[in-house]
Amino acid sequence: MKPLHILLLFTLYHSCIESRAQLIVKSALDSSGIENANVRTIDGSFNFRTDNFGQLKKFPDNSDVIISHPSYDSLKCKIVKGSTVYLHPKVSIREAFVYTGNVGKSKSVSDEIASVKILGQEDLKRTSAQNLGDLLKYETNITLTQDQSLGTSISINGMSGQNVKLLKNGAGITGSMNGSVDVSQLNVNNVEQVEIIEGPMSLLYGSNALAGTINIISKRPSDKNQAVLKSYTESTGIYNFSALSGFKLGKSYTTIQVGRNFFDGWNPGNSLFYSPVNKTADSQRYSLWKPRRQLMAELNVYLPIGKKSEIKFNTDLLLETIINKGMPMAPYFESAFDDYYKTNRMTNSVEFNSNAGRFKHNVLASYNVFNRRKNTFLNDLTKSGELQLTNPENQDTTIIQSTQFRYISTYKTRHIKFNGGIDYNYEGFLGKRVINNNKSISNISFVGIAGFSLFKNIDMKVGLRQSINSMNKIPLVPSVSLKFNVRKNTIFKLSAGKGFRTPGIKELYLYFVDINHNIKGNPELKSESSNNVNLQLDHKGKVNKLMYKLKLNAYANNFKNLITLAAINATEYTYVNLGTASNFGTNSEISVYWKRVEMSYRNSVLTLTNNLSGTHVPKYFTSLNHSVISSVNLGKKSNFRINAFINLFGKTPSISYVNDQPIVVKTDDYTMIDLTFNWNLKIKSNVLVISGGLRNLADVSNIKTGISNGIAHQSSNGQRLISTGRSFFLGIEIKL
Amino acid sequence: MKLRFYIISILLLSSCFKEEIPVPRKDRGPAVSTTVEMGITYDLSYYISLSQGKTTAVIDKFTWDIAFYGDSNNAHIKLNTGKSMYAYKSEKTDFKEPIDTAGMSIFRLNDYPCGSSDSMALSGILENNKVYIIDRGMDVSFQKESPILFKAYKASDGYHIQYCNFNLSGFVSMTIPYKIDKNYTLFKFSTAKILDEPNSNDWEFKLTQYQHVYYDPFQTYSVVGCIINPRYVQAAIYKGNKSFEQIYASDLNNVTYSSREDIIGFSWKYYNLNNNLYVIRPEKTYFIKHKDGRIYKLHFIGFYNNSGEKGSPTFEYIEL
Repeated sequence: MKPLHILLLFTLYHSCIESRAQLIVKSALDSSGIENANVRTIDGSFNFRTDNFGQLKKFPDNSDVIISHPSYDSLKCKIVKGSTVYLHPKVSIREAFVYTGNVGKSKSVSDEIASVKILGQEDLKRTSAQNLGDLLKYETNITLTQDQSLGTSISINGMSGQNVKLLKNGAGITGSMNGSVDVSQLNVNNVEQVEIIEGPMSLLYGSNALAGTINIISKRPSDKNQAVLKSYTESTGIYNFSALSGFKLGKSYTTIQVGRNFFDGWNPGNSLFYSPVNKTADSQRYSLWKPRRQLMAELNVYLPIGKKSEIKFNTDLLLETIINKGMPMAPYFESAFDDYYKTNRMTNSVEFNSNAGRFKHNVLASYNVFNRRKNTFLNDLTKSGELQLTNPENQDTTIIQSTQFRYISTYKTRHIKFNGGIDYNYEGFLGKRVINNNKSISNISFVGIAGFSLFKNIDMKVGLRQSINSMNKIPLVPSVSLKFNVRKNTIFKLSAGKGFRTPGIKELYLYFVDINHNIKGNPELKSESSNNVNLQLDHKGKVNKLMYKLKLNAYANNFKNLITLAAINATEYTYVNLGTASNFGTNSEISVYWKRVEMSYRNSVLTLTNNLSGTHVPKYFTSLNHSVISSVNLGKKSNFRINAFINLFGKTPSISYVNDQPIVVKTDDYTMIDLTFNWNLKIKSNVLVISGGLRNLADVSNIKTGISNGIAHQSSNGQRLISTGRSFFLGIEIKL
Repeated sequence: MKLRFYIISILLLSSCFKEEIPVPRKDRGPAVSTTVEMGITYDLSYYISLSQGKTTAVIDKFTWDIAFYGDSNNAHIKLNTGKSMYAYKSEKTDFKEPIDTAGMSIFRLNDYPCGSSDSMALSGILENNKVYIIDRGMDVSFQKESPILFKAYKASDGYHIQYCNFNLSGFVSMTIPYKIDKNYTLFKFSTAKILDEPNSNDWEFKLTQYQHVYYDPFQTYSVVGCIINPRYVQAAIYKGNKSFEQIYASDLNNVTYSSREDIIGFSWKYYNLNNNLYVIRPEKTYFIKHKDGRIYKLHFIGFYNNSGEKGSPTFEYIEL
């Protein structure tokens, strides 16, 4: 640990000052300050939001106000200078709001018909997540897969990344490599919440939304000037920094954020107090976890137009460099191949919302560019120079451009709400091993959704999506959802729908032919499709001062026309629609809230069905994951919170082939434990948030997969990377 | 003041990519180093003479399809497995008899790399009078060449061969003479041209692409390796723990030499799937014993040229 870190911690400890506030809004549950509570005078002359500590510095003395917050019961009262008011949580504990799939306006989770999981500000704070992967790793039904050049990919309920739709503010995120988007490239510094919708959302979002949809919602620019500096250091060699500025410009509210994330690379055996130094160009140069640098910039503009319309603009830029320093080559260890992976990712979207009486309109346009270049250099380790390869086989550039335009209109009457719209998507691919090195796909879809109440307590939604694709036929996508308010705090949800995934450009047009390979794409491929049934029961309750929340979710999926690489003769391979698969499982969660303690237990059971006939391989494979997340607020004034995350990932069975015979192999089970704390402090009028803790207490860096080596090639197969080793971290955030 | 301190502290918590400290170059001693550039698609085969200290011939693999052994006493025909060639034996004796090719792929015949005359796809062709279907493998653009029908006889003046396309067009009948001073005479179907290998006494081994056969499960796979000239040399693999520099003539005791053509083969390197690179196995040292009694120790030190292109084996050798 650097002495600077110790000094900083020591000094911060002695600097805790809580300045006087005119009003403090606190939770009646645990006496913690409530951030973002809306305080307005009854005559509407003042309207402000509380800060991180639930405080308001300036407010008219002796005034009648209404204090409101989505998660608490509103309170009407008179306040005087120095008042502290307590809001009682709604029984719907930390009720979150869903943006995904709702036109122009968010909807509370309990009102939403779809099964949605929200990871909000509290989750972002407690986990100290730096990117989407960090945030999702505590979810029991989500699996992260690490690849040191392709990054972190996710699967939901056992379905891999190409079946998970990733959105930013509703617009699709481009740039999947090997079928998956690298979620470690999606930073969460300026994110309001992340919404996870399990089950197919192809009705709304088209292709690739078979397994689920993850929508990253940016923070809306604040109506007051702000500046935020953030720093994050982890003892595995992570040094992140970001700065955000928010201001009002004319009628618009703007935030600009820039950041730099740096990871120095990590190897098993690195000490806990690892500090980056210049290394000799020998075997030390190789890192199992590759050094990475990310430069980021983001601009958000929010422009209200009158009282009923708004425009939101978001542009997001990422420049990433990953260096894979090769092992010095035997026998003299004087040269090595180094790979440089450079990724430029730019996401732009503009959204217009209008609320005109019975009509609501939502227009979204986005343009994304993803550029990934791999260059391999032969490095003479006896010198400090590098030589670029002349062999084009080792150089690779992939450029993906996508454009999206979506218009959805909502018409609402007393009995029925109708959504109708059009969704156009274009994706262009430029890269080698594709016929002519350049291909594109476009797609236009028409969507219609009707929502109505069957009875007083039953809401229903039916929808249909018809798509026309430039390359292949897409099935008609129907969907039906039902929400039954069994009691005041008990909701039952049922949905059934169809999802699809159109073949990727490489699956259609791959051309990889040399002396050892003959793999060609198949332009005749059909879309993969799935049928999904999802049931969910939500119940919230209160026993004396203990509140609890229960979620029981069950799902079943059936996939058809799965795209598989298959041999069409002794030497030639192509993609075919061959596979069928099915799975079913449950996700359950129980959360309890008692005074300053929160605890939740989550459990996911996933069963995959084996469709191989005539083999001794079992018909069903089941895996089981658990997690326990607990959080305690220790300080009344300082908002000092300690959090523990314990994830137990069970053995995961799968089928492997030995001598063309299927056998069952199981990955090892493992446990991930993180302990974190968050400490909110006041320094004069500024807010200081200190986060820290220990990550991966069980020191799990890789696990055995049970899959054996290939015969012609050698690799360290049989191991799956999980995480860098045990580490501690420190995050500092200053809000000016 | 404190706030400024925190802000400055935050800015100090950063790092960047580090420069490396170069390693010193190792002394190579008396070893002779040779690099051959076969090309990234391994088109060229190099015939090496250690005794003459030079490359005696370079032959493009796309300039020939089959090879005829030079000595009539051990007459046999070899396929160019560097082009992924195979053969299928029919039960027909006349080209004009129709051949049913349905399901034929399971009867595919391939050359085994050991070099033994009875381990060739076309073993027996000189005696059984059958028509064989020759899969000519890939052309220079890695496109499949069309198969042909082929027959061969052993005669006193050489190999009498006949071949034609499947539709009986392009019929050729000719004689390939024996050449006792060559291991093989090379022949290309499309041009009906003969190409000579260097004289047998002018090379000890060649570096070439060929097909290795895996047995569990059965699979052929194109590899780049070392094929010795069994008419003039034998070779052995060093089994001890010493490095190349530490091996001397005294280590030759109990060494068992072999005339198997692929005794050195390709296992001096492997392909690492984790970083997609060929990696040299530094523990692999070989002995090559010439008919004239000279013995060399040899090891491979690279598979890439100075521009980082694969297909450029580099080896070092010292006469013991």
